[in-house]
Amino acid sequence: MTDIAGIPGGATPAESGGSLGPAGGTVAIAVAAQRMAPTRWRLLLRRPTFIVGAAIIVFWVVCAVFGRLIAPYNPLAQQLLFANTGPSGTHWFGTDPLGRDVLSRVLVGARDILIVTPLATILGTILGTALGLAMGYFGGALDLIAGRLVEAVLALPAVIISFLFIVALGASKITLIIVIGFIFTPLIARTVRAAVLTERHLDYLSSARLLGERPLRVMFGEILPNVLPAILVEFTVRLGYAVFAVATLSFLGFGVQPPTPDWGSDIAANYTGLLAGYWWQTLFPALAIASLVTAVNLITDSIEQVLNA
Amino acid sequence: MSELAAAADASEALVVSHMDVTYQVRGQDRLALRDVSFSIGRGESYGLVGESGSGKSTAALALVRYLPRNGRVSGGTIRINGHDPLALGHSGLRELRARTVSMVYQEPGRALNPSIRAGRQIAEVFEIAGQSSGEATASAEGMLRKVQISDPARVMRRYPHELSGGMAQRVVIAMALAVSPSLLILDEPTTALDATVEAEVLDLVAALRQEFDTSVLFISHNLAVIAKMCDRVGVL
Amino acid sequence: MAMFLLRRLGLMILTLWILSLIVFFAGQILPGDPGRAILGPLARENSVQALDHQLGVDRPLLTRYLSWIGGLVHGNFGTSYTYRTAVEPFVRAALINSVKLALLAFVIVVPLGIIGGVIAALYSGRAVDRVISVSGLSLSAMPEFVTGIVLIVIFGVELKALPVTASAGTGAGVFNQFRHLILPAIPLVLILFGYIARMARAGTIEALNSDYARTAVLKGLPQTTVIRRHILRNSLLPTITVIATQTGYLIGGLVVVETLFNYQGIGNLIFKAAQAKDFAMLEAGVLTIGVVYVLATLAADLLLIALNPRLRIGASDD
Repeated sequence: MTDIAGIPGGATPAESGGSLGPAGGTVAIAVAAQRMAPTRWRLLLRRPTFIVGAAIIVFWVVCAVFGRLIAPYNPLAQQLLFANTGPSGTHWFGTDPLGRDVLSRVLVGARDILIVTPLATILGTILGTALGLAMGYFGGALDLIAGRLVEAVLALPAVIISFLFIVALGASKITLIIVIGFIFTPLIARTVRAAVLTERHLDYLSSARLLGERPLRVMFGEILPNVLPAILVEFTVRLGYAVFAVATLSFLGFGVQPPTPDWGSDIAANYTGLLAGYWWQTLFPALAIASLVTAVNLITDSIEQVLNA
Repeated sequence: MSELAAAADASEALVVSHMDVTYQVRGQDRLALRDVSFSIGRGESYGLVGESGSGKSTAALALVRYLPRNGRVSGGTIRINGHDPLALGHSGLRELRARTVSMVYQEPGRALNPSIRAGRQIAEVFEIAGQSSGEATASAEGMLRKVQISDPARVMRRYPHELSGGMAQRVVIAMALAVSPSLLILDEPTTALDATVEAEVLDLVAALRQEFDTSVLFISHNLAVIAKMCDRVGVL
Repeated sequence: MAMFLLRRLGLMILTLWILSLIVFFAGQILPGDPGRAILGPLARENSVQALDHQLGVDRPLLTRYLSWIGGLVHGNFGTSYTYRTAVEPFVRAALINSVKLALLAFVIVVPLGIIGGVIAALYSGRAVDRVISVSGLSLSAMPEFVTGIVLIVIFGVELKALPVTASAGTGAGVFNQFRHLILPAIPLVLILFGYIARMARAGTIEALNSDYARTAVLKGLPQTTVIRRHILRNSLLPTITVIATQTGYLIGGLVVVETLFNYQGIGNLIFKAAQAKDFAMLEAGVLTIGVVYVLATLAADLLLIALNPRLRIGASDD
């Protein structure tokens, strides 16, 4: 299985070659989700893993929205006299080589990753769902050809492909969203297709066909609502991968460009400072990323636990 | 539980007396078997009948202490050849399983290790009994002949998935009788086999039982099979 | 089985072909002009045009693609925009360096992951299992540069126990080379550990619950022999093949780790090429990585066939 910058541990197990089979895990969970009563949602809200994860995300969202108001300093304000000072009473997280307050940059830096990640995942989900629906519903030649293409594309290391396109298109938020979205498309298509296939034999489909309903209506009107749980679960899992991917690509310099504060780019700009011992400039943004990754994984985990109970 | 004939003798192959088996499910104790008593004399063939789910396999596994982690014998006693399996330490239990009791299972294909050739798996039993690997291989081939496999050398080299159901079951029987156990437990040995193959395997078991003078505990839900194979019957 | 192999090879060729298309296409949408990029901004316009003509950039798309493929097959990876010389030796040297790092990571993580997974399975449900499973999974979700930075701060800056630069310098002995590679290898190990341990755990649990495990125990074998001889070879089957497919993650991780530790591997190579917009180098690097990755996946499949008797031999008889 290929993913941006490689994130193992997702819901779908790896498989080399072969058919588009192993989205089964996610589908099984999603089938369970369909039977989920409203009380399950309440169970979810009570789980400590979910609460902790949600709390962290809410915290960062607040920072993303109100960062400028909360931050003690202007994240762009340079105070060259105080460059590279360690954590202290005036600068809790120290300062960077341009004398900017690291704490403020960390707080405001939540913004871009929290914008890019969901948008990229949503793009991938929309495209992947459309493709998966088409492949599952029409089957036949379309499925065969598209399936082979999807397999072949999935056999490539995603991080490398994304490299190419980001260089070609130029680094920016939009590029990130598009590239990550496209990378996710075949993965999500595979899961959606598997979910559609489990639906295809059911009666409501044959009756829809008998009534002569047009394929688009059937796909989006009838099948889609029923595979929605599978899509939602897949979306949550991909969200975790997306955080990983966006952070990594930002670190590699393909994300937000300076001087905008961003966790990944700040690390990219300052990691050479580690050799000189300026650890605070990179450690705090790194911990921020770690907290977000953990939070998303906690939420994904709690959803899976509730559905499997 | 009812018994059609009574016999309790100190030199019995197997004596089960008022055995209870309990499973712990979700923190609660559930009684799977209650007050089970029966005995098997030397050289005798005893049938244990019951519907699916009545606990026949549980009884068998309890005798060799292979209940799942949440199960235990909660009451009663067991004596195999006079030994109490529940009181044995690790090495004693291993010896009991290696020399005294053997088991044949319902799905022979799954009872064999898919990654090891059939011959090796039989030879293993002889190695446990102390033979060298060369001796064990020869003995294994001999056992295959005893279970009426016509080309033992070829079958020795096969992997389990290459064997038909009947063939695999013969291999399992060969493993089970290799060291002449006192007690042979057969848990639905032919249920997963075709009717013709079933007949062959049953005839084989009957013949071998005579030859090895083994006591047999035959578990099945099929009364006809039990009637054919067993001297006495108990019903769960 | 021959059919399976044929299909796999076909898929591999298809994948490589698509890779070449993607790389070529990406190159075409790159703004700018190769002749200009090579000669620089100060060269005269007609020199640029002459070079362009020489490079063949004014030919139709299909011709360019075919000659590019032709060049690749003959080992001609083009000319680096940055260094003005052939790309190929850079790629080769970088690949070797990356292989060293990757090997070290594998050598550490494979036994570690398997042991962790098997232990977790044997004590399944208990504290040891929870610790191994949870920590494995949470660590594997952490981006490599995050763990890398934490490691550098702890071991390099504070404790000063391990060298922070990955290169031991030219002519360094093997032992010293690997000593420098330990810190960079650890983030890779952490990424892979969770996944490998989880597969090993699942495989072992399935094997422990199997009928053949029951047979082995009831034969009277001691616990350790049952595990060693019967359980492991079946539980590790899926794990071993999964390990080979981890190359994808390893590659992604290599890019990040090599950049962070400034190690001259192929990940760092394409990173620098991307920064400098040296598209020839970038293409070559990407293609090389792609080919290596596809080959590794194929090797994984072959390994699976070799190890699993069920796939190897044909129909059963008797």
